[in-house]
Amino acid sequence: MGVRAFAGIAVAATVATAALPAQADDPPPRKVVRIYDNFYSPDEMKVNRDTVVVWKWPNDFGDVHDVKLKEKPKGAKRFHSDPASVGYKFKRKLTVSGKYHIVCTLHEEMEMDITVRKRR
Amino acid sequence: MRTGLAAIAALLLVPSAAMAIDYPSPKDPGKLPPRPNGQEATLHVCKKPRCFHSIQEAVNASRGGDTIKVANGKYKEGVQVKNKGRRGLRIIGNKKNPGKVLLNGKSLKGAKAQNAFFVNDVDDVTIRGFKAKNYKANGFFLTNVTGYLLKNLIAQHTGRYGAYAFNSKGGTMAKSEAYEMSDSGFYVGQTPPQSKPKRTFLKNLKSHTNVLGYSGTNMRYVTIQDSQFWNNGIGIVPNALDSEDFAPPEFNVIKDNEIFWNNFNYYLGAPFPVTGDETQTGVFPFPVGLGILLFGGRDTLIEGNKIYGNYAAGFAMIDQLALEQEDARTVDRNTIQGNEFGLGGMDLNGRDIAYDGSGSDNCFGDNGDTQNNLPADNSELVACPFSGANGVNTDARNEMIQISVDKDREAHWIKHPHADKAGYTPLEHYGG
Repeated sequence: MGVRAFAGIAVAATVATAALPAQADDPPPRKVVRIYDNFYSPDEMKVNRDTVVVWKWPNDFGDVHDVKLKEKPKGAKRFHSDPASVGYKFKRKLTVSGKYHIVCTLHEEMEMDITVRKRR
Repeated sequence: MRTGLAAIAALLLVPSAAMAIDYPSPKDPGKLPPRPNGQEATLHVCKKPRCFHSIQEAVNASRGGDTIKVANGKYKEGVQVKNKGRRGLRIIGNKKNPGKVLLNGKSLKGAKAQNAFFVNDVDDVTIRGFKAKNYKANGFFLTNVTGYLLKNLIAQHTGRYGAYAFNSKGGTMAKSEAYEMSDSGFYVGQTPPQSKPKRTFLKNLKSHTNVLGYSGTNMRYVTIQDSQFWNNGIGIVPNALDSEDFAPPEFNVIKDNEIFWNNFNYYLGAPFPVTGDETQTGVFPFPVGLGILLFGGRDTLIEGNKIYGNYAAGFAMIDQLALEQEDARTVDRNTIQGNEFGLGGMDLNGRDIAYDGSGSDNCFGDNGDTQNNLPADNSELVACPFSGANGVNTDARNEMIQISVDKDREAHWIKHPHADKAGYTPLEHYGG
């Protein structure tokens, strides 16, 4: 590695540090929702816009559940996971602020709400 | 119905508020491929160059009314059938020897590992001649369909259910076998009420070595006949639960089945995963040793069954004490007649009939000489026809609840020797 190259890296690093809060390459924040019989945990959450929500099924034992977006803010894309029992995960990046209502279509008592805030 | 039975003990629970929901359209049904000549086609899945090399490829290329013929072989895939336009699709393996067309979920990942076949919102699909093994959720799973035929199928160790029809109207499961399920071999649940009901038929089934041979939460218009249920924790369990819509189960028929030796205490070892942390969810376990259990439900006909060798009871009926929907808790207008208990004295149930007298208009007709019933004075076995409140026997009710919730699943068994039955071996404790 030559001196010019090293200098270039240093400059780039400086710029990157300065721009950290808004950098496009930052991994989006993630929130995990666990799936149990018959509830999501947590069943309410508030997240910033562009958060990736990951629904995780148990690894050992569980009934068949899915994740369906039933009510959504205008402009958000609908989603619906496959039905699964164990050893599965499903994730969606929530890019539109507003209220999301999630249900398991196989167990009507199983539901959760997500409020997506505009990022400050 | 894992969270269900438990509900007897759920006298102690406060169920969360339920909310009616709509049911899903296909997640991503995609577009149907063009049909060049307008005719229904036969598509072939095999190893030859002109064939499709996976069942899913053939499904993706299919349209309504097509037939997909699948050659003998081993397939590693989870097949999904979506798009209403595929109505009437037939997927045919080897009808005479389903084991030769094996879908094996072992080593699959993601959604493909969950269900061997998953049909959503496509009516009148036929699936015949397959064996499914080693999936995590279900062998053959249909939701939101009107009409289906599942026939000549084998499901072994496919997760929760072998064949599972949910929120569907009408259909047939026939000449099929399911075993090693952590819930039930066969399941029909959340049947929507219908002004002109389409019945669902389950016939010539074999279900064994499961937690439950058959379970049906809020099932209706279902006939289970000419089938065998043995070596399960419980043989057949129509049940009312808040976890699914449309309680209670109703207008069901269970007739001419052989329901025997359902004493598999899987809690002590099983070829499938057994229950999670019950203390976490407040859920209590199922009892073991019952032939038929009506756990809530009305207008059920139970007739002509041979019920023997079940150590807790051959037939038990109790209302669903903890159901949030109060008007669906009781057992009403159920008829239990013409059944044979105890194989003519050769293979006795621990108790032939256990019924606490809950509900109304329930009656018992010509079930032969029953023995060791609960309550012992047979006061609840009123003859058919009968109308009016049956009248709860509190002692019997408490004893039934105790049988259901006792952590020692065998504490209330009354064991008798089994009669020999060629080709069948009783299973109480799993050693394999």
